[in-house]
Amino acid sequence: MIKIRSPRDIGTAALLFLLGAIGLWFGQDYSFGTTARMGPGYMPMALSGGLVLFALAIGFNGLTMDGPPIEAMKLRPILLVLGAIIAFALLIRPAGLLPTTFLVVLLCGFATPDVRWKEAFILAFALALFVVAVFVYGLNQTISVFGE
Amino acid sequence: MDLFQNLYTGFAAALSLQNLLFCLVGCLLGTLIGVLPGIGPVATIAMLLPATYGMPPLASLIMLAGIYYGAQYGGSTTSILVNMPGEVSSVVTCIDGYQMARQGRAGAALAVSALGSLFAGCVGTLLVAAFAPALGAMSEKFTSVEYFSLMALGLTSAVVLAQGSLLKAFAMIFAGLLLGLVGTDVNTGTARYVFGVSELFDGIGFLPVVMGLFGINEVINNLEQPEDRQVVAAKIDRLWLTKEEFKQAWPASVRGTLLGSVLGILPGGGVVLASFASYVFEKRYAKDPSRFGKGAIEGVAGPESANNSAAQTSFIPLLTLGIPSNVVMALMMGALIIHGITPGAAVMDKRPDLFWGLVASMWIGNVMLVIINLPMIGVWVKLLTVPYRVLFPCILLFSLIGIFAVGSSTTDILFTALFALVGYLLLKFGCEPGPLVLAFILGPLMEENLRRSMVLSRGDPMIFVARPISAFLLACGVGLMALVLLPQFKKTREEAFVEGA
Repeated sequence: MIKIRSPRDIGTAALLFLLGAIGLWFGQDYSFGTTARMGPGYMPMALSGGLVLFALAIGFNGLTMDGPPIEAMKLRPILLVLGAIIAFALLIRPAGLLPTTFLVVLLCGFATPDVRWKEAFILAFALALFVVAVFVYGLNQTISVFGE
Repeated sequence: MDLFQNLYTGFAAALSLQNLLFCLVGCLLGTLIGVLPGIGPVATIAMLLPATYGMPPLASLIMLAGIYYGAQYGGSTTSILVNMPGEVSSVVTCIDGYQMARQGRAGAALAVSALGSLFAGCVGTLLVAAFAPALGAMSEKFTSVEYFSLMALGLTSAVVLAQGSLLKAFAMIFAGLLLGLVGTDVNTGTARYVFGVSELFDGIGFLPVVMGLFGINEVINNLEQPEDRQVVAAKIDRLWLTKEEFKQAWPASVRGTLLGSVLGILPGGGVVLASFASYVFEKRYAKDPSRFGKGAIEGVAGPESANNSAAQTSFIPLLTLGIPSNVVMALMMGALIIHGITPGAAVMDKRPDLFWGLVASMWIGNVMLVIINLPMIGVWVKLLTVPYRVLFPCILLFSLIGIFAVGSSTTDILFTALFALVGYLLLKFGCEPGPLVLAFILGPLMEENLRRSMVLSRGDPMIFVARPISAFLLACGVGLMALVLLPQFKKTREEAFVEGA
């Protein structure tokens, strides 16, 4: 029975293996060349191969040597912060800077359990006005205020 | 003498009203983010990169540099008064600085860290002025072979200096190099790992990677920790040192400065390592090590001098060889490239005002910073009362707008989210993202130089040891690795990191 003894190593190995495998799979399409005349596939294949080897070595460590556990992950901060970033990406063009800022600040404000409703609203509103003043009018960035 | 002629050119450029103003802005911002925990120079410089588009190159360099070394001054304030590092490079200052504050010697601790930083900053600036031209002249002999070996050395030392497992740090280098290769291959025009995303033809954006792995990741990580900040010394009297304290502090400050200067030049080194190393050194060689941890002034003077001198000298590799030694320098490189300037020795010849102006501004900035930090300390302490729940939405928002303003691409924003997630997982798995980012930046350069070297030698890898400079650089790398694997040094390395944790 295989037992995970160092969960952090197993996690690292899984990430590296994924990256290396993607690299190897798609890297085949690019011409490899020779060492004297390296093709566009030479370095990517070499690096991806290396990553898979690293993944195996670190994974082996994870099964044979005891290591510290993975710290508890709190879902609230990571989900809300990532959600706020994705919301920014989806809204900034159609809605424009002012509404996007307001919503993004409000959304990410809830990433902490200490959130205070009134304060979060005031902050979102103030920041929305502030960034429009600074970035659009102050620094002359070409970002539209109310969408395209 | 040439040096004075050059410094004159530099001061003439740096003392213009506009450049003085940007220097002040940089130093103020640097102190601000240094004092505030949870936002570092990497995130701030990345956020301000878009704003430097419209500025003259020298002014933007001066401002960004000011943020970097200004943060080294500000970081100590929080460490001493709140027992919480404002910057990672001030982690060790917490140990003795906070104890000093609890004993009512906050004023002395603040004064010694500011004066030590000033001394170190001046020495560091002089070193840049003295050594950069020599190194630059040497780099003219460099071919692709030497450049490749130099970058290999840089990445090796990044591995050695990273926290935690060496195997993982090496794996991070490979991952970074591979991610750096995404995009159109310059030699053949082949699009690699693009998956039909048009933005990826130019490669994965630098800002999304850095902001995701560092800036946003830092925010998420801080949100997971409960907020607990208490300013100890409400009133700081006597911002000065007694004769006794001065006598204890100055040798530590000199030692820290020298140590920091050397570690700053090292590729992959920088401010964090410098302050850790200095603290370990002071403690080990003190007559009475038991005083450390209980308010020993050397434990503040040494590391605070070390981190500032390292901040200055870490500019040397970028300005002379065109190779960034850490993430902040990589951002500076980005700022130069935005203005169409390729960093390297050529800058010194073609734009002496740029190089020497920056050097001169560092000296001016260090003097400004002592004034900003000592008499104005009360203002910065007030800032510490701003709660993180107000601060982090601002950080997040400015980062996103910054990234969007540079690339005008929502794909970049989505990549930021992806790399924030990756950075979060890496942190949980005990991998440091620093080496990954450095490798990501060096990836395309390394591939290009490796290819050229191989064409030159017709595929014979022995060329890297056949050329003396290249062989020397590689030998340094091998030596570093061997050193880390020695049981004795291995212990010290682990100790140094534990000390700060």
